[in-house]
Amino acid sequence: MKRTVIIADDAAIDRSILKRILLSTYDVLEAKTGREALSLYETYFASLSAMIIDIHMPDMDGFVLIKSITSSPTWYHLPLIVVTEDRDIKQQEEALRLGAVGFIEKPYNKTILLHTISNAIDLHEMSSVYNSLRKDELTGLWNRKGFIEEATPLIEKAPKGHYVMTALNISNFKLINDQYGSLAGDRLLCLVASVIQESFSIGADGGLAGRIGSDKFIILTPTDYLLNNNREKYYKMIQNPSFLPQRVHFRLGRRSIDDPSLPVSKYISQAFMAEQSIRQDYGGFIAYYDSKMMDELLAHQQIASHMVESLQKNEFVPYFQPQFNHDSGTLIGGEALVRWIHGGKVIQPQEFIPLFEQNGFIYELDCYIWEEVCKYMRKWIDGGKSLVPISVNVSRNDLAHDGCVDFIASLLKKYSLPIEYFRIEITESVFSSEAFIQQKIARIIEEGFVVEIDDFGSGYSSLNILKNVKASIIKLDMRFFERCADESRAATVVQFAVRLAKWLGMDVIAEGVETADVADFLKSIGCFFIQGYLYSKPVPVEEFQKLLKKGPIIQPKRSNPAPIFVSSKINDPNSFDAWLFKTKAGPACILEINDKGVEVLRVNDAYIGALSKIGIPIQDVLKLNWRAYFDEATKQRFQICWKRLLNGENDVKEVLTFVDMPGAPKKFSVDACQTVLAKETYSTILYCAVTFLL
Amino acid sequence: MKEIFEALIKEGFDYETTLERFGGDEDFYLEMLSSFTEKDPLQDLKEAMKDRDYARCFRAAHTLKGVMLNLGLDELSKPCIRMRELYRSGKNEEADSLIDEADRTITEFTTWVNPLLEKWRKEK
Repeated sequence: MKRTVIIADDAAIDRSILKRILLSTYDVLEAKTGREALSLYETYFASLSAMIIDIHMPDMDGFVLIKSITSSPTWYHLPLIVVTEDRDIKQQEEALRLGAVGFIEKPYNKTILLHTISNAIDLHEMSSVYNSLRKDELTGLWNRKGFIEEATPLIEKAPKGHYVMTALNISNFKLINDQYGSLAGDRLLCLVASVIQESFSIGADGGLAGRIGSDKFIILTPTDYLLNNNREKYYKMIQNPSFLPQRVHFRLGRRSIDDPSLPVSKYISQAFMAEQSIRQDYGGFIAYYDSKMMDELLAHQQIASHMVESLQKNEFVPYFQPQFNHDSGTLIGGEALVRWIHGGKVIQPQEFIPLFEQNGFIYELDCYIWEEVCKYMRKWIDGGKSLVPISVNVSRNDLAHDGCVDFIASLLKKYSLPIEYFRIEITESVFSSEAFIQQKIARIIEEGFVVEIDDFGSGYSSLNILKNVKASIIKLDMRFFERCADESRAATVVQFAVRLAKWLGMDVIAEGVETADVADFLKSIGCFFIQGYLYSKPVPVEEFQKLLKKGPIIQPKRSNPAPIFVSSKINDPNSFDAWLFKTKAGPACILEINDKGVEVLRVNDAYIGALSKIGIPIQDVLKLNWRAYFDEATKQRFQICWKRLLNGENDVKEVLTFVDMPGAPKKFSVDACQTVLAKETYSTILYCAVTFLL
Repeated sequence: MKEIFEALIKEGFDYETTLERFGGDEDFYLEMLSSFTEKDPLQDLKEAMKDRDYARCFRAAHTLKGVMLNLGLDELSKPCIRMRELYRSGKNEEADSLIDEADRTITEFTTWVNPLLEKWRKEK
């Protein structure tokens, strides 16, 4: 029997020539257009051996045709051979990328052409036969032999622990088969296979799946998948198939691939051993074979068995991490963080929060902690202490509970707390979750709570969130920037975030600040609020209360008697900025002038000192548009001064007089000596040494 | 060998390579050549030019190139090849300007080849 080949080419003469060449060996079907070729493929796919495709066809070009064929559900790697221009490498690359297996060129060379086609067909047929011995006919997954052959090289090459083997067994398969017939059983097996392929990203990134017994599936995936992906949805798809009136039960057994020298078959059997270990156990459906996973599981069970009791015994307590104004040294707030005091040890949240998120206990715990915080705040007020705002964390999980917002609002009423003192901290990623969560956040803001965006910049849509959500405070985690290899870039990003917040009228609290250098840098760019080990780690309430008791002022820590402002490199005293601020000892600042006004970007300590003498707090200076407070004469003088600077003059001196600047004397002047540092299309950066004239 | 091939060879036709493509079947070759010359090969290209549909211009020039090379009409295909390259790189007007040259060479070719094809058909 001759094999069948399709020729797709719009040029009739070329088609006839090629057909004549092929007819000695093959049956030929002709398509004048891409669409015709596609419909021939759909009709004859089961009996085709190859398709020859001309790239340039009028209705549907060859590339689109290849894409349509390879994404068809009937696609089985039919050899696709593309007719190309000689030396058109781009076109050939694209064709290969899309799944073509070879090329022939015009004008046709009979010998090359026939060999190309017959080699492609041979290769395909050989691999089909080979794969039919390695694939499960029903589901298309690997069979035992195929799975082992495919898994072995993957495991050998991968680092220890990179992969995990998961065994899946349908517990009530026999029952289903008996009750609803083997057709329904087969359908269930195919469903499980397709869910496995989807949920474990099989094929996309090194995952493998096989069926090695009637209802026994085996899956090899990078461990990351199990950690990062929520599989609940997929589990449900298997549990409740539309075509079965009965729920499907299944169990999973896991074995981490931690010893590449063990054969794959060993891992398979151990994964199934784990699965078998829970066959009596109705509740649990995932079991782990290996000791580490087993230990974790046991630890989790341990935690879970104690959690409710611990809550009743008040073993969960809020710790408070104080927040300071780095300029004044004032305590400006605190973040409440949960700790578990259990068996004389303080357990850190990362050890129990993930588990509580899984088992749903987290909401109960968070509610408890919020109330504890409220109780303390009430106590502080009653005790005559100066109250500072306290932030509590509200997770996606909490927000998903219907009563969450009402509960928080009711707490404030119950303890009659001023709403601006109970801040809600929500992780950035939560702001972009499902619509109903976003609505909850909107309600919190409507209620009048101060909302903080935690871990700002860590997600994918930071700017989008700023655009849409009226939060009041951004929290920047400096540890996020520490891991950055290029410090000056990190500094620029931080500076941008601070300025962005300023433009939006938001405050910034930098957390994870561990060194005075970082704090000083933050201050120089207008970020004064600091939370981190530099000042204090999270402390028990007794200690935090002392800060309140001692009154508001504590001395800020300084890195250096003469602080250096460095944005280009935080720790490099030889940088340009350091030089700029050090060598000019008097008050100095860096200004940006654009069509909107004059903005102070950076100031040195002498400048802050001089300002405080005339009574202007530094925060305000960095928020002001100075040009708005020029008096009439200054406005004109500034225009002239500005032109001179733009014309390339350096060190232009001018006396500038300000009136009605908030917080400042009604009228004051400065003697400003300005130098252009950088010019851009829309703005100019100036270095400005100033003397304050009162 | 038929008279027509002698004439073609005189014009630089590579008999051996080309006829191999046609399984050495002279009649089959001449049939294909007839279907190429029986109506204006440039018709599609000219229509596309009139519509200023340059994607189609490119495709038409490309198809002509393939067909002429398959027929071993290397010399004749040259203006079309140039046009194809020009359309490809977006130099549409420059490409358009070559149509007269392409038309002239093809007309010259059909003027002498069509009577010979007619003669071959009669003999057959």
